[in-house]
Amino acid sequence: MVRRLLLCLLALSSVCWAQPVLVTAELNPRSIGIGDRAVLTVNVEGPGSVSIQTPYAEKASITRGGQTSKTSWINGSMSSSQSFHFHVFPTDTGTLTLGPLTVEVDGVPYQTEALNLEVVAQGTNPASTRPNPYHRRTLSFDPWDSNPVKEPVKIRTTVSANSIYQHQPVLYTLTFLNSVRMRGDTRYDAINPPGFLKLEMPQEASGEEYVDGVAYGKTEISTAFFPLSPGEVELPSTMVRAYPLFLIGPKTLYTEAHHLEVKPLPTRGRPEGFGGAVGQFTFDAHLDNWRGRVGDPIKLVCSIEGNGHADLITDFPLPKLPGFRVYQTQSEGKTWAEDGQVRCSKEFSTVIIPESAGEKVISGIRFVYFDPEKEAFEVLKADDMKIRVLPGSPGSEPSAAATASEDEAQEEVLVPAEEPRPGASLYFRSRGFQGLQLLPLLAWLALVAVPWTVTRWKQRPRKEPRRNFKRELGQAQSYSELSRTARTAVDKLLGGSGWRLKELPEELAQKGFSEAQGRELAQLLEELDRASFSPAGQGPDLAALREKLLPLLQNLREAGSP
Amino acid sequence: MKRLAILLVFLTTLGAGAEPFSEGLEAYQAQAYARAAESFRIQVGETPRDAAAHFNLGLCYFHLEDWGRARASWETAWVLAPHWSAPGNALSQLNDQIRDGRREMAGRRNSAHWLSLGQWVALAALGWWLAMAGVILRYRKPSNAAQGMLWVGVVLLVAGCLGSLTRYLEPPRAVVVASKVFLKNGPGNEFTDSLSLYSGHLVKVRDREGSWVEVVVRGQVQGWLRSGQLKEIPNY
Repeated sequence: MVRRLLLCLLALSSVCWAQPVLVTAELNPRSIGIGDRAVLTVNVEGPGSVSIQTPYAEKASITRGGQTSKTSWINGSMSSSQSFHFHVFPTDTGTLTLGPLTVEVDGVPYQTEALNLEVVAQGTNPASTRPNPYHRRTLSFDPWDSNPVKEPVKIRTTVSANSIYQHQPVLYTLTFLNSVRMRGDTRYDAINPPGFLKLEMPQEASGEEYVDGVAYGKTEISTAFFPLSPGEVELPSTMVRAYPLFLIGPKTLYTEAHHLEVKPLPTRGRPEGFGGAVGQFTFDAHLDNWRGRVGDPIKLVCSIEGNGHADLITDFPLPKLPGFRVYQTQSEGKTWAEDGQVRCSKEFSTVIIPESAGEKVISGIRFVYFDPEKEAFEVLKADDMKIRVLPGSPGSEPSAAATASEDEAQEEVLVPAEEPRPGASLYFRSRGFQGLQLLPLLAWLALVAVPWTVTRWKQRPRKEPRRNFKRELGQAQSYSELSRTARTAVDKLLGGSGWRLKELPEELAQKGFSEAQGRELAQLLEELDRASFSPAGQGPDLAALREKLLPLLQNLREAGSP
Repeated sequence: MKRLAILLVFLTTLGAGAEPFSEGLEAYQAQAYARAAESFRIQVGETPRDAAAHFNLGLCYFHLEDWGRARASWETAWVLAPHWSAPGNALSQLNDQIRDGRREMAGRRNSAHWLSLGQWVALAALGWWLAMAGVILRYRKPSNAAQGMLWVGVVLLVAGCLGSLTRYLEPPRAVVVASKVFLKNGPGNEFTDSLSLYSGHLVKVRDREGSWVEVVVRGQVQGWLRSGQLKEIPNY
């Protein structure tokens, strides 16, 4: 059973792996300029181990790019393919022939067809007029490369204009160029100069740029600045920190500062009703209802769209509207970036309530803006708007129908407080409150710190008081008491009572006591032991023994002291 | 006789503190808003931490259509009594009165405004006492309850300190009370104009120089205004 299963699997695999090997090459594009790049792709379809050399051409620099492989199952059979990419940088004009290329698949050589590349004089990167001298794509940094790129990262900043009008946007672009791989995000401190409104452009543009024949990856970040007042202003310098792959630590670069002249908006010939809008705008005004009744609210909406900043379109005065009760204008605007341009829109809404019936015309609504390109004020006028106002309900006041519910709601909210309501007192500033917070600390001191300190003090290792042998020996009234006093002193020096009298001199000598005195002490102890068993009055003189013992014990103490 | 006179004087002065408030209420009920405002202004001068006096003063300003002062008074009442809903509800009435009112009124408060400064300090003090009690109990009678008390105390202490510091260090705010003002680029009339602001707009105060105040508008534009064009709101 197992054998049959294995045979089936083998047959199946052989069916699957029966895909023939096919090697092709393609070049894209087929015509480029000096300084540009073409990609040569060699496709190997079929299983097997592929060996391919980087092709060589006299009038081109060819570097190896990446490699991709793909495996897919179609109708139960597996197919695989591998692609090898090469970057071709021509160094001379004319027709460049690449190939035929030899590819080995499992040791079996295959050849591709030859491909022609047309090279013209001027490439799409005009900055590069010299051939790329490097034999390796400079976006991957090779530390052993004999011609390393001297400036692997560069930055530059540009402004769209150096002289602008107040409220006119200036586009500030930071361009970051890198010719080596980076090992982290590049960081920079966005500038935020005072006296400007700022709008960040949401998308970073990226691409490639050639500088002195070196290919750099390019990233651009743009910000629009709107100056709020005239004068000489500066967009300051800022710092950029980049982290090239093979560089220990960051590379710090500084942008240049840009000086701008902000011209004031002209006052001569300024039409009435100018509200600060600078740019190019469109204007529209409409009513949400062309018919209404007396007392019914109608919304008048004026919409402005353009390339300025919505926050700088501040004023929009309405003309007098006789026969209408006019409420406070509300505005809503937004500013955004679109295709690298600043766009804004703002809507001014005003609720108006007709106070009498009849045909009414709303006219004279206009929007004034300053066009910096024409350097002149422009006035946009809205078309006249007609409203047909029908009479309200009999006996109704103009404001009753529209604002009655609003007034009721307002009355519910705007009820005065009947009693004083003292706010929280600043009790925490009082000395009493601050002093009160010391109580837990005092309690901790009394209940924890002090007892702990006392306990530790009591448990500390105590130094034994210096013994007065003279007094002790003087108090001893018997041979055994004298012997006990001497033995205790010896125990302390030797660190215990396990010593023998015969070995006492040697043991005492190890502790720094002289051997002669040790023998003398041992003899005295022996004599004391014998004397303690002798009949009364027949032993040696106690005082004499005392006199002999005292200097020995004093020397013993000195021997034991550090 | 002398004693009677002294007693009479004492009795009359006893009720003196409540007079401006009740006078203001009477005037308000009679819709004499200007007179009511004057009475409440006197009351606010006498008891500056009376939230009700500030609130009523704001009502008077509202009826007098002085939106900036109304907002300043209601914001002050709300700072003094953060859990009182009346000032918050009243402020929403200004959405339609102040230019760009909805945007101005949005996002007024942060989490530190849940409690007044005094309440944050009280929380910190409570945490301090609990933490110290926990420390003492842990030493004297170690137990889970003591450990829990210590941790609760620490959390309350940290929260209270953070809240207090946030409220205390918050830059003071002010409301524009003039109908329309131009932000200046320096502390003087000789400086150029920047943004224009309207009555009821809220700014943050950064610095002062003489009669000029440096403010920040919408978190990004700095400029100067005269102190007379603003009414400051206390932080606590």
